[in-house]
Amino acid sequence: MTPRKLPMRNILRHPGRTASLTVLVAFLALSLFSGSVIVMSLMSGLRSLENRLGADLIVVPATSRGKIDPEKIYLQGTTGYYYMSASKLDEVRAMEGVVQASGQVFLASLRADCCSMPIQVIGFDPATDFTIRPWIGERMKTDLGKMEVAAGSRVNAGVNETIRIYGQPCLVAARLDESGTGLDTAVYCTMETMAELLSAAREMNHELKIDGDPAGVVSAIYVKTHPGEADRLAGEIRQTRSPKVTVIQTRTVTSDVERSLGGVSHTIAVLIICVWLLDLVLLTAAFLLLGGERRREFAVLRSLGMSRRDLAYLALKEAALISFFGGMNGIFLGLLILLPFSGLIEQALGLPYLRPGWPTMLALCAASLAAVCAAGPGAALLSARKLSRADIGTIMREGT
Amino acid sequence: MELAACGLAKRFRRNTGDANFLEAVHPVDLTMHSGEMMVLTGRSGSGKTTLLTMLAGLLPPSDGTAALDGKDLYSLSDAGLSRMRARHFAVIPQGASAVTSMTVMENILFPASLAGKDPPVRQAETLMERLGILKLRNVWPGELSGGELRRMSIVRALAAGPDFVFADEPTADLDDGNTALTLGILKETALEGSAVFVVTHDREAAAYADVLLRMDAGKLYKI
Repeated sequence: MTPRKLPMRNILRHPGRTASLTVLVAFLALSLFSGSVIVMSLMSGLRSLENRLGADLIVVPATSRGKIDPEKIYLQGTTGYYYMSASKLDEVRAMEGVVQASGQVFLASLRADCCSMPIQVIGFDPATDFTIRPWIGERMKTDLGKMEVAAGSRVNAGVNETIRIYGQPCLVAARLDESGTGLDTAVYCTMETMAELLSAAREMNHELKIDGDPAGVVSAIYVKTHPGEADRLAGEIRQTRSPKVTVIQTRTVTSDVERSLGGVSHTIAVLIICVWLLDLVLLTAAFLLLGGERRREFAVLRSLGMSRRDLAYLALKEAALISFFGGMNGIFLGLLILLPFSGLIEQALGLPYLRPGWPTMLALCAASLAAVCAAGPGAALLSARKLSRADIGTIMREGT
Repeated sequence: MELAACGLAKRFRRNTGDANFLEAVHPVDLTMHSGEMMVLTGRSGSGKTTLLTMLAGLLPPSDGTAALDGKDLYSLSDAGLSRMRARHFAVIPQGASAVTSMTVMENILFPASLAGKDPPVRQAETLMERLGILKLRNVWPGELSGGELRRMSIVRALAAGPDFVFADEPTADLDDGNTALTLGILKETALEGSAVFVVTHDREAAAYADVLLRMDAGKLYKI
């Protein structure tokens, strides 16, 4: 046995003491790591939502508000369908200040073979679309063909599988990257495929409330405006009639989300600080109490020839090792909670949630571990100082 | 080698009614020489252990010096004094003194590793054999009786062949047979060249002493 090996031996030979300190440190790591991952996931989700929305304005029929909140489709993946004449698209496109405008058609499937719950089908026009094509382009080089769909990351269907929507077989040509928004629960197809699906839905007596040709409708118009024109155009579009429309300014959606995210992040930050303060106080108290119990042991080591510095090193190395083990356990527990239950966390928060990639996750693990490995010995400093500076002569005279 | 105490005294802060301190050890002049066994007796609370711990470099005195070959122990830095203790001194303290996370043999060999010496395995085994604890070499201290722990700390102090041995009640937990054996081993250690300082209540110890001392109310008397 050498002085260098003694800290590890002390840890292993006192499992009760080690376990209780490890649990305290694990809580530190768990709170810091989990809180950081959740906040980063929310921030990634917001960025992803901004990228995926892609437009400055979204125009939907005014009646859709009563049926379903369109914002929920983007944030939570709630299914919905509502229609207006495609002539509205031409009207908007012709307005001054519009850079691009493209229509999308929504259809909520009753029960797709792929899913246990209704999914949103979104049809887009490849010729004019500027929001969905770039996303699909990350996964497939060519455009979607007829009766082909691109599935969101949370749709339970693999590439080259066939799913049935209103009885129509649709080939899954691509699976899209996760966006952390409600858009992950939708499947995407061209307008040509959507017209087939709308006809099939109508044949199956699904009440679509479409007058006339299903190919002549849109559910939403995505509008990109010249810089600074969004507010004016939104007002102008709102004033148009037949049909009456609602204009969603995506900046409003994202700033609402940003505001909620700010609130959640603030709450999480306060919780992390509270847990850390409480835990550090407990950890310091625990090290001090243990230090009291170990006075005699340290006095014996001093009498054998260990210096104050050696004893401080011994106490701090034990604390560092315990912090390392506790930190690893806390982070592992955090991963066990965060990885399988990210869907539940997203549902509970009601905000876009996109878990960071593995390089960022590993960096967060390392940073959390480094923080607790500094906090543990920090909490043990007072105890180490007291133990190393204790009057050994007096302790030895106590005899027991 | 010699360890010389000059005017070595210790006062403790304590409200005793008539004073704010207790004069635990009045100024002491004493020299320990290699090859000599000193035995210090006296009543409980007379200051024996305080004197021993000051001589062993464990308790800074209130006054005076304790010098090893002319170098005052308490003028050294903590690291310097610790190094000196590890290389030259060995202490057999009162009561429990085992490091509980080491086995008996690891406890015994640990001081040598602190002093940067080779582990004195053979010497340790010989002493353990003589004191009847060889079979306990791989046992944890928590499994030992008081007498076995005491014998372990005696072997730990003597195995590496220290220049100075400070033994505080080394026979306290031992039966008559082991008491005689221990005192005999301490005497042999002195004859082999170490300076041995024994604090004891044991009357038998006087027979082994080259110098016999008595302490009374903090004052040291040579008998």
